[in-house]
Amino acid sequence: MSPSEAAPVLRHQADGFALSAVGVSAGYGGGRRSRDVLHDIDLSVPAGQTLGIVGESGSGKSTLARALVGQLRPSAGKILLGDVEISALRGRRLRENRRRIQLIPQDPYASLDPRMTIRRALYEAIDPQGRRPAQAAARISELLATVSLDPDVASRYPHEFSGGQRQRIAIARALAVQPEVIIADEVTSALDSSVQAEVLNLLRSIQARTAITMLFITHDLSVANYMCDEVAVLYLGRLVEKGSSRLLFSPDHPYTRRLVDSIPNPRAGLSGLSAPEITGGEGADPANPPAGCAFHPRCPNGPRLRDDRERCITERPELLPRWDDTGDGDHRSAACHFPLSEVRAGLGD
Amino acid sequence: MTTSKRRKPFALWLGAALLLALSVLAVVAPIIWGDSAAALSSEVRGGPSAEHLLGTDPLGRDVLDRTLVAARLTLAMAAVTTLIAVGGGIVLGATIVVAGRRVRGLGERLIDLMIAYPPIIVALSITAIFRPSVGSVVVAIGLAFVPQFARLTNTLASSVSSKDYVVVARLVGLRPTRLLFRHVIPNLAGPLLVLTSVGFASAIITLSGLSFIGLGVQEPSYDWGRLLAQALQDLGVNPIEAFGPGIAILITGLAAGLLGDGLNQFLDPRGPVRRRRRRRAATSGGADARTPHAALLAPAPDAVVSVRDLTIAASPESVGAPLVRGVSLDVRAGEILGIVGESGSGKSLTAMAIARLLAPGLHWSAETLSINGADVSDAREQTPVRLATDVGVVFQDPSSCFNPARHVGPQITEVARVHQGLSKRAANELAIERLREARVSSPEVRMRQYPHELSGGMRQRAMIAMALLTSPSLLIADEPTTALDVTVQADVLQLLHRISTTRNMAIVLISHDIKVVSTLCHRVCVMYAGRIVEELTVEDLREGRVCHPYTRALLDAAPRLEPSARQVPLIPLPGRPPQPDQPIVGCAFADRCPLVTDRCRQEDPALRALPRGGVAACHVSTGPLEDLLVTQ
Ligand SMILES: Nc1ncnc2c1ncn2[C@@H]1O[C@H](COP(=O)(O)OP(=O)(O)O)[C@@H](O)[C@H]1O
Ligand code: SF4
Ligand code: SF4
Ligand SMILES: [Mg+2]
Repeated sequence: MSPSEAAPVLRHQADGFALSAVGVSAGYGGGRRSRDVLHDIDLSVPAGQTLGIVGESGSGKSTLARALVGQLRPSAGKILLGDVEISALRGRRLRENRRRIQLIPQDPYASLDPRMTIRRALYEAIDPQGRRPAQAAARISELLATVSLDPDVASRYPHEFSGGQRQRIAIARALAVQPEVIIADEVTSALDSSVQAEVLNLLRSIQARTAITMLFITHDLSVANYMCDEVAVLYLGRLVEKGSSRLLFSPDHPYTRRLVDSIPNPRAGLSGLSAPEITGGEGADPANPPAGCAFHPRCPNGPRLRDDRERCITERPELLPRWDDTGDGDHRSAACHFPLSEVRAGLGD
Repeated sequence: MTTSKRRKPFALWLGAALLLALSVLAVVAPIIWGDSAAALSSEVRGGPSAEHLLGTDPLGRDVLDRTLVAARLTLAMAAVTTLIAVGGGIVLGATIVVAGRRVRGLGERLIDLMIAYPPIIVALSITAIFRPSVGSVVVAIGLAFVPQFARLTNTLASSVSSKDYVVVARLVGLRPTRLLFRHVIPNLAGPLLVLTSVGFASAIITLSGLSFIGLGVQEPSYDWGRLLAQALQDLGVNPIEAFGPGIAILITGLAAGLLGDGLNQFLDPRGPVRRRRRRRAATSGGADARTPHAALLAPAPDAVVSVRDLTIAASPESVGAPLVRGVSLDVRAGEILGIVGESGSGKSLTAMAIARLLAPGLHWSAETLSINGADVSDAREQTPVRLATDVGVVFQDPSSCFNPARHVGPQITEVARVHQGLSKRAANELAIERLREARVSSPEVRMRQYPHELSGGMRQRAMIAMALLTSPSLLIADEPTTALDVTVQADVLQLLHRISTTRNMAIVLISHDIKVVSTLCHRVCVMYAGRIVEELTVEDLREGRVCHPYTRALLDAAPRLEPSARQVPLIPLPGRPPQPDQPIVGCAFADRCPLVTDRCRQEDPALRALPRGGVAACHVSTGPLEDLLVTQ
């Protein structure tokens, strides 16, 4: 390994990150037909913290999750998990390290094998070699108790449970592996809002108790705000803003602003909702994003509405550290030529 | 929890019994009827008679006996053929799936190539190369079907391997072979059994076909195919001769199909279960609570929609409580009424009853159900035309409401052309105008596109345009934003608001998300277990002045986008709403309610005006509940 290649690994470890992506691109379709839908992602999750990944559907959130757990081989970049570069591993070594990072998928109706009882599913997670260790039964009861399910349910099949219960079983299975990192991909979006709170609280209490590192993927910023220490905003496969989750209350990127303003806010009523979107920008293809700033066809500060913003079409803004005007001393970065904090401070015009 | 017990499907029994009978026949028939089937008689090509039930062949042999005796050879050949075809196919198909990426690509291309040749041609070539015989024809047909089964196994296995539960099992660290045997094959077993039975049936037919053209079984052996071939030569003279072998082939195919299908159902843990039916409770809750609610609402002559005492049940004698119990509501012009509650609380049923779009099996009754003052509650009175033009409906999933095979335009204009008799041109112009109103970009282009060519938000707007086409006085929007991104949701909510003000239209907005209804609506009805448990203005809802413990719980469970939200834990709602087959005694919310008292378990509270203000159905609450945690 050359010194320059070793550098990100060392920095990742020295800064106490549990999981890092360094310049990761990934996509679908093999060989010459492959199309990247994720471009040049840099992010790090400090050990024991929760990083939220937010963005609209199709922005690449699930693709990122699949790349991070090694389901999808990145076409560029590396993924560092603790002390190993997991994206470089294959075969047996990969299988051994895979257990250190677990995924809770979005759809509770697809994530459990319909022909396996809950007990067998948990057994398998505890010991995939099938040696059936003696303590396994006790451990299964303990896991079910952790997710507030009765140990008696272990002999049932997945179809006998509601969506919220299945999601708790999926969480129990992820915990059974005792991973260092858990990736939760839209785990509450298929649930009724009354059940959502239960699953969110469960994940929060698990994290408080075990100091597990978590990547929490959601399209709902009020959920991200509740769950996450830090957030990263994805738009068409690129990170456009990241930093402490407090940035949601004074975003620098117009896309983050748009997401924030879209959350129904009962106190503000309709006036709190953002002005309707400029039409024509929807349905962009992440494998073939617009030139320059990919958000420019939809941006309310961009070239569609202002003549002096030619630059947004010709030059892609880089994700750069930003000055934080909230006084919290938070670190944050945004990829915009005309960040909102500068507009607010009168520097941008 | 309902106790459930697996039931063996009838198809399984029938198929297994038939195949067992056929197998027994195959073993014993040549022993019993072997001699009589070979015996010649003078009655050549005879019709049915007492001695020869199915007639005789050109040599005067009994057709029934010969059909029975031929069962052994036919079934044995079909079994071996199926074994070769299915076995070879599964091995080839599964090997390709577990192999590395390179081998997989190569193998799939090879199968593509092989599948291009029809099996019958392959079988013919193989038998032509070797001498026609029982052995060669079985091997030939078996091999000819291998590529098809390999392809099917391969497709099934790859679809199972991309399922979330296989992905998760891989992350847990399962080795590929274990993954294959534990998750992939068991979930393939069902479809493969069906496939095997189909394979068996087609083996019988193909074998018979080859024997028929003389490439299969050779004299003096005979199978059903040869018998049929003989019979078809005599068809003009003695049609009954074909009956025996024909029906035998048919029954065998049927038995195989039934067995495969039955096994598939039986092996699936989600398959048909028998639920222990609960006895109907002596007191069915809700009935007495209906009248006070209706009386509470003053008659509203200016209402666009007026509903009193709407009750909907699965069937008059169904177990459990009715699905909707005594709902009364009014919506005025220009007003947006929100209905909020968990899934299964009866929101959609209520709305569909108003639109008169209830599923046929449901029984409903109402004291009043009027739209624009016209009574539509009489089930016999047919007013579909008025309803189609008076009420517009927008559903949760726009993609399931458009026919994917037709252009968007004609689907939007259908109502206007059919019910209002507009010309095609006029209807198109109207549709374009409505699409523009719903902020659909380039409406002329969209009209000529297929639904899948529109983004999700665009489809939802097109559906709103369709609902507005006939300028209805009421728009029902059932979870119109649940399937959408937050950004698109915000746009759709803005759009509904604009429609309500510019058209002075009455809108009923249904959502499980209390934040959505409190953002858009003027008035909100909270539904729980088929009843309205609280009715309040949006101002009260926004300020948190809610009176029913259920409404309070919905608010406390919803995350807010506020800086302090992280420090204040959400309060989840414990338990689940009552299931539809459960009778309801007392307050339906009692099992989940922090304020529950003994009285709540006996008496169903009526919706009433509370002493300290507010309208709710609760024995305990006297007015706005601040914070349940504090109250406790
Ligand atoms: N299996 C797949 N094959 C091809 N394209 C895919 C596949 N899965 C997702 N995509 C595409 O990748 C992009 C990002 O998708 P995804 O990561 O699922 O986004 P999100 O999770 O943010 O909704 C989308 O354009 C989507 O259509
Ligand atoms: S770079 Fe330009 S178009 Fe992109 S977000 Fe910033 S202002 Fe908008
Ligand atoms: S009637 Fe009783 S159980 Fe029902 S909501 Fe009121 S306090 Fe709770
Ligand atoms: Mg996703």
